[in-house]
Order: sequence, then C-alpha cells, then structure tokens
Amino acid sequence: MKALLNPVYLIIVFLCLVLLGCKSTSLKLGNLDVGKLVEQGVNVFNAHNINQEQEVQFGENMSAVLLGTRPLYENKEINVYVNKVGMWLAQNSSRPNLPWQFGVINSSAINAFAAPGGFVFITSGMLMQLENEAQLAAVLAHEISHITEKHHLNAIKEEANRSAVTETLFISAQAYQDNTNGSSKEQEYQAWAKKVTGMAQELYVKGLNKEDEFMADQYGIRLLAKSGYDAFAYIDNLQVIAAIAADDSALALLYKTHPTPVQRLKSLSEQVDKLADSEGLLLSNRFVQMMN
Amino acid sequence: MFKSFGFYHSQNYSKLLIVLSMFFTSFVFNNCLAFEVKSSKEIASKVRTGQVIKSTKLLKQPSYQSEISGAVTANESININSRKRSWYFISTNSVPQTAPQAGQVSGWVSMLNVRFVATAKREGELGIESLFSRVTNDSLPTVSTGVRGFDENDLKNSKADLKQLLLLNAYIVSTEAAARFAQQGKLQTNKINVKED
Repeated sequence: MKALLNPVYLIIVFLCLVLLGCKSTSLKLGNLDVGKLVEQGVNVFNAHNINQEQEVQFGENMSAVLLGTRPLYENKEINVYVNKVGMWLAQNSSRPNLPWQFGVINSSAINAFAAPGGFVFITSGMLMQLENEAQLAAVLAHEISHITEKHHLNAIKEEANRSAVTETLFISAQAYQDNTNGSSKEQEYQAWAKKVTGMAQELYVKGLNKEDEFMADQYGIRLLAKSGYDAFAYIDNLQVIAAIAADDSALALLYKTHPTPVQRLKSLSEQVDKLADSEGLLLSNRFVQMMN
Repeated sequence: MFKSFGFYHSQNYSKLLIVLSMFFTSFVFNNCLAFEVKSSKEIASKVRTGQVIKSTKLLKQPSYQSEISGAVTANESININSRKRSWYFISTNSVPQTAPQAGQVSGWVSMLNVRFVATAKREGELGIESLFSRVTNDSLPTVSTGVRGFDENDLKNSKADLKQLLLLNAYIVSTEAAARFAQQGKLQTNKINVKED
C-alpha cells in the first residue's frame, strides 16, 4: 500500500491518465469523435483486448462479406442439419458460449471459412465431396478451432501493426464525415464496417499463416474425437481432397490459403498415433439421408 | 401322346419350379446380403485405388504389434478395401475387388502411408492433366482461375450482404437441440483434451 503512495508512482499514473484523456478527446471532426473511433479501432485490432460482443460484431461484418460473394444454399433442412452438427462440436470446444452459427454457402468451390465470434461456413461444393457426418464434422471442427484460438483476430492485429491501420481509419472517418448526412454514430459504424469489409476481403484472399492452419488441424481432429465422431474421418477428408486434380478451379482458393493436403497429412501423424485407440462414429446413414 | 406330353410337361414343370425356387432363394439371399452390406456401411467404405508413399509391411491385424503378412513397394498400385480406426485393409490389384484373390497380397497399413489415385478433373474443367489419372503429389496448382464457385476476385469485389446474415440467423439451433441430435446419433463426449494442456 505504501508503495502505491510513492510520489514517483503517483506521477506516472497521473501522466498516463493525461495521455489517455488526450487520446479519446482531442481528435474531433465536426460532431464525430474520431478519437473514440480510432481508439475503438485500436481495441478491435488488439485481439486480446476486445470483448465478446465486439468480436461477434466483427465476425458478422466478415460473414456479410463472404455471403456477399455467394449466398446461402437455399435448403433450410440442410442448413439446420449443419448447424446441429456444428453446435454439438462447439459445445465440446473451449468456447461453448459463443453464439455459434453455421451456414452452407451455395458455391461449387471446395472450401470452408470461419469468422470471429462463432461464424462457420462450408460450401455446397465441399459438402458434395463428403460421405458421412464425421467428415462434415471434421470440416467444421477445423473452422471452430480457428475461432476458439482467435486466429483471424490475431492475423488482423499483425496486419494492423504493419500498415498503421489507425491512420487509415482516421482518413475513412473523415471521408464519411464530409460526404454523408447520417448521424455521427451511424457514420462511425459505417466507417468501421467499411474498414472491416476491406480487411475481411484481404484476409480471406490471403489466408491465415500455415502455423495457424496446422494448429487448427491438431485441435480439429481432437475436437472430432472428443465429440464422439470417428477421428480418422479427418484424415479421410484430406486424402479425398488430395486426390482431386490439383489444378481444379474448385480448389484454387483453398490451395492459395492453406498448406497442401499432403503437408497437412504429414503434420497430423503424431495426433493419429496419439488417438490410435480412439473409437467413434461415422454416421453415414444419417448424412446420406439428409443429402438425398 | 397327350399323356406322354402331360408327363413330359409335368417333368418340365417340376424343373421350372426348381429353377424358380433357386432363383427366389438367390434373390432373397442377395437382397438380405445387400441389406447387411448397407447396414454395415459404418465400417466398410467404397473401394478406392491408390499407392503407398513408401515401401511398407502389411500386417495381419490393424495394430503395430501384429504379425506381418507381406509387403508392398512404393508406387505399387493397391486397392483400399476398408478402414478400421487409422488402418486401411489393402490388396495389390489394379482392378477393385472386395475380397483378395489367389496370388494377391493383402493386409493392414497405416492410413497415413496411403494416397488415393488422383481423379481426373471434373466436368467443365480443362487441362491436359485431366486426361491422365495420377497419384497425388505435393505440388500446388498453377491455375487459379475460378470458372465456378468463387475466387479471389469475387471476394475482392464482394459487398457485405446483411440480408443473408438475417437468413443465417434463422438457421441457428439451440444447445438443447444439438444435444438431442447427438443423443439420437448415439454420440457421446469422450475424455479428450482438445488442447492437450
């Protein structure tokens, strides 16, 4: 307690408070508190500091970008089925309380995506490659692991550090202030959403780093086993994808953003040994009935 | 003549009955068998062709402690008949078979040592490579033009679609519904640490 009353300590605390105060109040353009906006941006890009609500909002914007590319597959039963498989897996994950949502994107591309806050997507093209529920669960488990480990948020944080994103936010906020008549709150959100849209586009095109992909495989196969599915359906999936002609355009984006299936199979050898005695279910019949 | 014809006819009739009953028995048996195969689909999967990535010993049982039943060399064509946990039961034959024939070598190998034969490009996909099937290698594709599905240009030009988010929202299931769904499928949570701590 005495240490806290030390004059040097008090001076440091005072200076910090002054600096923080300047940051959130000194930057204003008309009615728009750009200082607050920039601060919000900084918080968003510091993945470990944002709260769950912000994370979900961030994921919603990223998901809207994905769905702007191709819409959801128009079959409620299949979308609900994928949600049930995904929600069961998510309940066995390290973040069961996120508002998990799963969707089938209507596209012949063979791929799957995740967005922060619990958003997971599989393409109908990927779904068509699968033979059983365990294989579907394997795809979803990989994406769920990206979300539980906040891989996308971390990638954005790294990108933000490289490209002085706060400055870009400042400029975009000014542009909105000059060119729109919306309320300042609306403008803040629009500026933020526009920035997120740009970052989502860039991230989904560029992909995560290989280490994150390998980690999602390690955690994904274990999540599959934990949830009662046949863990080796995960290997089945990678072998099936590896057997599709490598220059098939349906795989172009998957290959651009992921290590090759063969590299991923090699990295999973240790997990396969560790799970050697694991027994689980494929649930082929339930899957086939749903898809027919 | 009529009698003899009748006798002859009744003999033929008996033969016909025998043939019909054999056919019926065979039909029933085959259908029962087909049902058995269908219901055991959880274990058996469709036969695929492939190769092992290195010379590998074949085992009599799906376990490293098992006796050796033979060997298969790298790049030798194999049939992948079934899987048990992380093991494939394979046989050396270029024509897919469900049971090994005389002269065939068969046994269990770790699934990580196996690669399926790459399929030709699907309909609508162009390229000289589509004319040949080949075993998968580790090379990345050089062509990245998306004629179907979506590619990076689609993503770069995408506009956020908030209406689709609402539709996505309509498909959400509760944790209770997911638990019931798992129970219906007899799925149970196992004591496995996802992060291995």
